[in-house]
Amino acid sequence: MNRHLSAALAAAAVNALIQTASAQTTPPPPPPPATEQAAPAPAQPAANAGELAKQVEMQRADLDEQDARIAALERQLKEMKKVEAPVKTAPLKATPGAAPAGAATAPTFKVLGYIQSQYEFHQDSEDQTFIGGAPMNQNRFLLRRVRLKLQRDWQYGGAMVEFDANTVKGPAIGLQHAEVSLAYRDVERKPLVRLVLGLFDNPFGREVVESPRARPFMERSFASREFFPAEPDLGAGLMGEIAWFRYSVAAVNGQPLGDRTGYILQDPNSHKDIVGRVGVAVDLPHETLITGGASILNGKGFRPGTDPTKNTVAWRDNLVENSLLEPTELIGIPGAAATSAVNFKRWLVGADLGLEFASALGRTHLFGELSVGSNMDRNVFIADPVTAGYDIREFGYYAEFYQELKFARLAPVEPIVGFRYDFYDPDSDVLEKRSGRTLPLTESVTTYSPLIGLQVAQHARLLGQWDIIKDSLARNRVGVPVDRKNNIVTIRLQGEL
Amino acid sequence: MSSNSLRFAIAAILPYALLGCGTSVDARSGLDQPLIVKDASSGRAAQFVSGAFPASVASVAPVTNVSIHNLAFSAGTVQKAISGLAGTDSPSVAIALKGMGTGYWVVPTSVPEPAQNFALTWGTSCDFSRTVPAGSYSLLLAASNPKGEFSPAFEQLLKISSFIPDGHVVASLTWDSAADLDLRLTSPSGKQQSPKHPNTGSPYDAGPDAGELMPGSGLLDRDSNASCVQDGYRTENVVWSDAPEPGTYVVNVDMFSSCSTPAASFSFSLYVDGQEVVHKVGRLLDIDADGGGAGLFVTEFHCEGTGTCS
Repeated sequence: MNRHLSAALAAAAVNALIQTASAQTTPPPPPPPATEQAAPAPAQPAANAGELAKQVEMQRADLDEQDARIAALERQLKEMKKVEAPVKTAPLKATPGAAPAGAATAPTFKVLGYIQSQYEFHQDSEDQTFIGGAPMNQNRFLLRRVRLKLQRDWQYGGAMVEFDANTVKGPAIGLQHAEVSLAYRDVERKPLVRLVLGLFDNPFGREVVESPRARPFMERSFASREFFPAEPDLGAGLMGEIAWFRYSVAAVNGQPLGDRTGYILQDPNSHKDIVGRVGVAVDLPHETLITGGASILNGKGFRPGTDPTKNTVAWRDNLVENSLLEPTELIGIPGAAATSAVNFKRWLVGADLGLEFASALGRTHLFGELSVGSNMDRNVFIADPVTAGYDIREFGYYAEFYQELKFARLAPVEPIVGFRYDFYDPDSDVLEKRSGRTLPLTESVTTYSPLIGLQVAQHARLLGQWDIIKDSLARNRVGVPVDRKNNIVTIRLQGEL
Repeated sequence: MSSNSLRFAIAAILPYALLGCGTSVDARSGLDQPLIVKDASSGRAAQFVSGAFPASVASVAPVTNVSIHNLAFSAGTVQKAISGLAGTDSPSVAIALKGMGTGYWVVPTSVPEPAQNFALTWGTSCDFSRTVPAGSYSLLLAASNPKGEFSPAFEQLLKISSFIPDGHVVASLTWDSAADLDLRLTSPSGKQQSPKHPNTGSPYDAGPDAGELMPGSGLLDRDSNASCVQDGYRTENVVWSDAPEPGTYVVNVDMFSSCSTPAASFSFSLYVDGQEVVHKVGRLLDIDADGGGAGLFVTEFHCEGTGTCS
């Protein structure tokens, strides 16, 4: 284009110069004759004048040709300016809430997914079955997570559905997330405020809302898994981010996915659990990010009642113990009225803190979280204050570190190392009668989790984690609760779809 | 790898290795043991410890006042209560079946008994495996002291009979699935035994023994998994307490219902005075379930008038 412009300008300059010269020396020439007929040969002056006129005619023809070329170039230039015009007229900076160029007409649709496939070795595995038939052996290959997410976002809302498949308890496919939202976004499409309805992650702390895809450790900390057996619950939430400030509050059924109290994603009581978090995420120079927040959950748990029973006769071979029916071993069991279901209060508060920064070694991640609760355990040590007669107090925390190492020789492969320490006490008040005395019994579980692996960012990860679990689930020779050998080694390969 | 790198790796791994070992207890379930013990006071399984029964220290107070209702019982007996007393400072009691299994069980002691000088009580609920062969066994019981030393073992003699019922001749069917299988015998006189007609013989019609079974009749002990109600036995036996009616018996096995299982593998055995004289195996598929037909022919056996069968 520049070459054409230069040629045009040069031609125009030449034309102007010639026209100026013509005006100074000669009057405007008459229009050329239709045909070039040889004039009768004049005398010498006349011959010179004829030659000059011929040269002028030739120059005029050249000028006409150049005029035509300039006109063509000007047309091209106009067309090019027309094409560039919308770019120049777009606003340089949009106001918050205004639609970015093309946003309203071009909603984004994403299909995302990943697979986590692993081998687990459990120190306490046996080739036996539990009563009921579940296998005791846990030394096995399994698909831990196969996730497929369909997501569509536009300026004022979005919808997302995510499916999960795994073989943890045999092959299973289920709904992991399904949410629809209204949002008011800023120029970077971050939601200043977002109203969500559906099946979404409980907005509590850091781990519950962290994607398993991004987390290098195999699972969430033990305390987090006890309070929230799985992350999502059904409800309505309001959440958003304003600069460094983060907030989220939700009303949920209180029976999250994975709940082992028997009412997964249902709601046996009309009370809704209120759960929320306020926090910060501060970006600092050198790719440093500081995060922190405080979370709270307040709700009501449910202890189901029992059905009425009929009168029955039972045989208990507990007097003669000869495997034969003796009349004295027959007892009548009178029917009993139904017992009513009972609601109980439960709450959980937590605080979390994180620091991530880049250095010559690579990116470093440090996180910690602490939770204190009452009657909140919904997984292994299920809290039942109705039967216990007192409110079950729970306490848990973790501190974790992992480093993504960058070595130029290995790029794009990054070694990753990490360590997590987590602690959980499911009942701070449990007692045991032993050796004629009533003694406090700790049911606390402490886990040390070193981690090592390799990753290609956003593509694949190969990780190994050793969970060294310290608990009190076994007894020594004198009947004192001691640690049970139940450590776990997991090798996981994760790949992005 | 350089020596420095090696040292660094060892230093990094050693703490975890120590954490992984330490004083942790290899807590096996003990479900494969001939004796399975629960702590009666807590209802939880007792702790199974692999290895030999603890060596005795004479100065440790022994187990006393052992209570067992019946010392003669059959293999497969469940929830047999065994309890007693231990020393006033004894934290636990060790229990094992002498010469059987690969370890012993530890049960913590519970509350003191004021009437017995505040000796500590302990209680267990014991299951004896079906696979325990018939015979006499010693139940070993030893109390510990706070140092972890154990008293000389108290030995209680037990007489355990076979899981196969007592009888002169026993025809036994066992299978491996939740299906409802039925053992069907046809006696030499043509009487067909089934869950609805649990005898191989006929009762007297009249006389002083009217209603009583004629000599040589076998009796079915149970209809296992009847109507798919799981009873855990998966075994049916026809028992002759005296010499069976002489002649040839035809053995059929019928799948009344598959109970949603694809197949059932079964074995049929004939015992004479506790000795197995016939053993056959087979398999029925869910398509064989017929709600009470003649069943699959398995074998025949012949009994002499003397009571011998083969």
